[in-house]
Amino acid sequence: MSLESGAHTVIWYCFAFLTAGSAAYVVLTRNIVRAAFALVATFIGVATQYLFLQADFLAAAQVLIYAGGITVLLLFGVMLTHRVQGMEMRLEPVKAVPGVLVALGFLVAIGAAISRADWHLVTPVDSSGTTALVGEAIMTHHLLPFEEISVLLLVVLVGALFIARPGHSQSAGEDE
Amino acid sequence: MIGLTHYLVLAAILFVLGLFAVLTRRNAVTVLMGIELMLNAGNLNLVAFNHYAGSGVDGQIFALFVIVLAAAEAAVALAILLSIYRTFKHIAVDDIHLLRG
Amino acid sequence: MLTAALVCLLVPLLAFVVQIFFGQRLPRHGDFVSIAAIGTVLAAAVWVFVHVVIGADPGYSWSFVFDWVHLEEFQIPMGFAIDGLTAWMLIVVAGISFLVHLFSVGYMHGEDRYHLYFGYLSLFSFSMLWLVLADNLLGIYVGWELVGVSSYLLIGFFFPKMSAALACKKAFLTNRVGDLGMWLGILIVWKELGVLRLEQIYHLIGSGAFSSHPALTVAGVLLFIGAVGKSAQIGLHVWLPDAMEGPTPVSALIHAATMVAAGVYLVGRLFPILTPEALLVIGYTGALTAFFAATIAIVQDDIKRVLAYSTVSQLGYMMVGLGVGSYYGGLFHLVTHAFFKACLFLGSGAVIHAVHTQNIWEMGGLRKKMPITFFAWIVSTAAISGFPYLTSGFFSKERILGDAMGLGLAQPQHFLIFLLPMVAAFITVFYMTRVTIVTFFGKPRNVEKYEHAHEGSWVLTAPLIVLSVMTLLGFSYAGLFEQSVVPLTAADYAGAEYAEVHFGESVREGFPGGGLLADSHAVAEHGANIESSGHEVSSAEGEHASLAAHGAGHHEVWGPHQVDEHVRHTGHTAVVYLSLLALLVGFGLAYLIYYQRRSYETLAKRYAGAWRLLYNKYFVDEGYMVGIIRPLLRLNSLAALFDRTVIDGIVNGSATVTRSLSGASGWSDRNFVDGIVNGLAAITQFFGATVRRIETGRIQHYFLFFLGGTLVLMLIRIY
Repeated sequence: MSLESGAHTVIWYCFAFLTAGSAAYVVLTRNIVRAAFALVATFIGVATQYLFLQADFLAAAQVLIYAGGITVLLLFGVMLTHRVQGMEMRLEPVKAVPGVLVALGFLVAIGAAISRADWHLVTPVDSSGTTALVGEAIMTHHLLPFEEISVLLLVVLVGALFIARPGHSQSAGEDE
Repeated sequence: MIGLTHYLVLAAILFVLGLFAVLTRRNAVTVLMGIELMLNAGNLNLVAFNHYAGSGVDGQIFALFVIVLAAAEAAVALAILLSIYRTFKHIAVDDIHLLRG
Repeated sequence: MLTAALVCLLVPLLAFVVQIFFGQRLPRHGDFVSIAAIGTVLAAAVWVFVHVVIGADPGYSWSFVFDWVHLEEFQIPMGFAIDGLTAWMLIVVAGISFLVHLFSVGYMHGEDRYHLYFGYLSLFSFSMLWLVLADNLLGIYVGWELVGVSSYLLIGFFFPKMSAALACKKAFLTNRVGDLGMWLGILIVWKELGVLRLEQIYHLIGSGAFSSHPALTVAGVLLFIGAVGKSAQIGLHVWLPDAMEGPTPVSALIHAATMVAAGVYLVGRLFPILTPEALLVIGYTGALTAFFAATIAIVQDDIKRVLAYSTVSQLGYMMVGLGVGSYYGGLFHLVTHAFFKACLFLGSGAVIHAVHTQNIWEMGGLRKKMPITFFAWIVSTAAISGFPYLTSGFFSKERILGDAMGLGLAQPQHFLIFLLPMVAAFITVFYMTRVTIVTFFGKPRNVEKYEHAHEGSWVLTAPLIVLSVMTLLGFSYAGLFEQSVVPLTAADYAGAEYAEVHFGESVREGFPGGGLLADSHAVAEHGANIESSGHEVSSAEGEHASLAAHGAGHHEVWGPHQVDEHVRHTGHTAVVYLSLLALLVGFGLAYLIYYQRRSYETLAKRYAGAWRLLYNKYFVDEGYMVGIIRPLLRLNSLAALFDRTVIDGIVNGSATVTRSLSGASGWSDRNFVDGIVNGLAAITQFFGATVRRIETGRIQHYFLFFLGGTLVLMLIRIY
């Protein structure tokens, strides 16, 4: 194992630990605002994983959309739905048991699947970046889904506005 | 040397954490966070397979679409949460059971 | 052709979408959208009719196929086909639908959810046209379910009324039972042959691809069960009378003319592949249905219910027709019945609209107030009674009964298949005359309602006039129908070259099988071609033999049941006289009972003792429906009345027989059919009560169950 490779491994483990640790914090903390900020750390951690996998465009998109956009949305959600800031979240022990069991079961099942699988691996191509490739693919092979996504986003924009419109739930009941 | 398995295990951990949040947390926003974690885990798998077991960038494109869809999903979900909050004055998911048989 | 087919499908669908989303905001709540849509469809249907039925060869068949699901080694095709039968169905569906749309403008005026009503009508038109146009079993199934849904929506249109909500549920669930049978039939065909397109199925079965004869019979009977549900044959007929809770124009369109005929259409489409055994099952089911429904119709008070049972009875006739091998008779009766029954229903709708009641005993003397409705009613009553030569009903009914008698004479063990419908024909005349007399003749029983009654506006009367004209013109299109709707057998398809099509149009000119009835003139003249080729096929292919033509007289055998042509001819001749006799006896009886005698109330009062006796007696039999008791009492009182009058013993006897039969059929209906239904409901309720505890309404619980299941599957897969 060369020194460079060894350093690579160590750095990877650091970031992997950051990712998984902050994700665990998101799930286990009782303070919802802290959870939201830990989620940002997780998203950035996943972005670094993308960098390790030489998906640089995706890493940038991850940071922009997830860490930037979705987290802000979630924070807005927290602020709009809690009168008291930093409200405690209950985690009822009794109800958690089946959830924990199922989650652990999934971990075991996925782990077993990973260890048993016979992957047809190819040697990774070392490239300086895939942004150009991604751009090309989007504009050629995947043009139709790309355009459909833009329509979807428009629909979502209008739909979300419509649903979140103040007094919507009451007036909908009267319209019937 | 870091290989495919490392990424898969990391993704599995993220996925199970997200699953746990979705299954046990009462607060709808936290549930939403759990869903985002699961989506991220899926994306990580896609990119890792694309890197180690595929050619081209189809996996990355797919992950990109998932990211966009996740953003759309988060927006709609939060709009629904707001609507629920206006109706019930809270967003505890286990207290919302109008469909109980 | 493709354009016409697409117009037929897309325009009503578009109208439905427009009505659902924008109907309320349009002027007049958008009724003109639906009417314009169905008008366009009618124009397209006429165009198709002119080209296919009048212009083209009798064997003409156009189809358009595309792969709906396209995977490797697994294709599910979807497609549309137009041949003679389709063209007729198109014109019937579009024509009656158009008239019903018009009628509804007057009838539904000012109702709540007016725009939705027209939206649903458009949805129904779309579904029915899809069903008719589909060229494969799956497509037919899709249309089948679509008409089920739109029928559900329309029966339950007055859903704030409890009975309407229950009726639409009942109709939907009863239909599901039949649909299950049909689905199993489709699966058997798919498993055996691997194809779903009808032409391919004919072709493969003609070439002997089905594994065994019994399996083919089972598949045919299962598919027929779907038709039992949709066409309200005995056993699953219980929904149709309840469906009368829907608006009357809907009853005319869906529950008399088109949707209920879908079952008959399906059997007609499957005709080439049905084995003689399956056809016998169909024939007996039809015969029983025709008879029992007719007996029930005698005792109903509600004008729409009388018509509902009469519809069930007439659908039974169609099944008898197909069952005995009378392809022409069964399907032509579908067409003629569609016109005259729609006319009867719209007539009853006009009456109900005028007097605001459905009870015939609150009507009376309406003849003077509503002359146009009365005229249309008389015409269609004559048609349903089979009034010779003037009305369309005669041509189809005579053919069915004649062919049934042919079978009954040739194979005496199956004489019942003729006897029951023949007796039902007597009863039909009787109950139709009864309703006519009570509603339109005599003195008005409810003076207030009578004074209020008046003829409706032109949208109410014009459809009636058109329909009665269509009924009177029966003789003009009877021959045309026979020329264009040609009964082919699977054997005819065996020799045809069949090309696998995945996307595109194909047109078949003339008949499959090569050389059989090659040019249209041969058919038009019933010429030598038919006879000789008929001989060839019958000798070569055995039982699925020459269905080619009627009246040629030289055939050795006829139809899938191998009926001797001479015997069949005798049957036809006899049936004409029997029909005349039925007309006279049925009319005479009803005239004597309901016209010469006093009204219902007088009788009920005079025989109050008998009334109470009967009432208590049937109270013991919990199964009896209240609606049957009073009519039974009336019949009983009438029987007593006969003793003192000079009517002879035949009359007396027939009344008693009728009473006990309707009692028996009512009893089996209550105890037997409902018992099964209620039992199923009880079982369902038990499981429902058990399972509902899982249904916490908490989404996380559902997710947990879902994941737990997934986990089990994953572990099974891994270990």
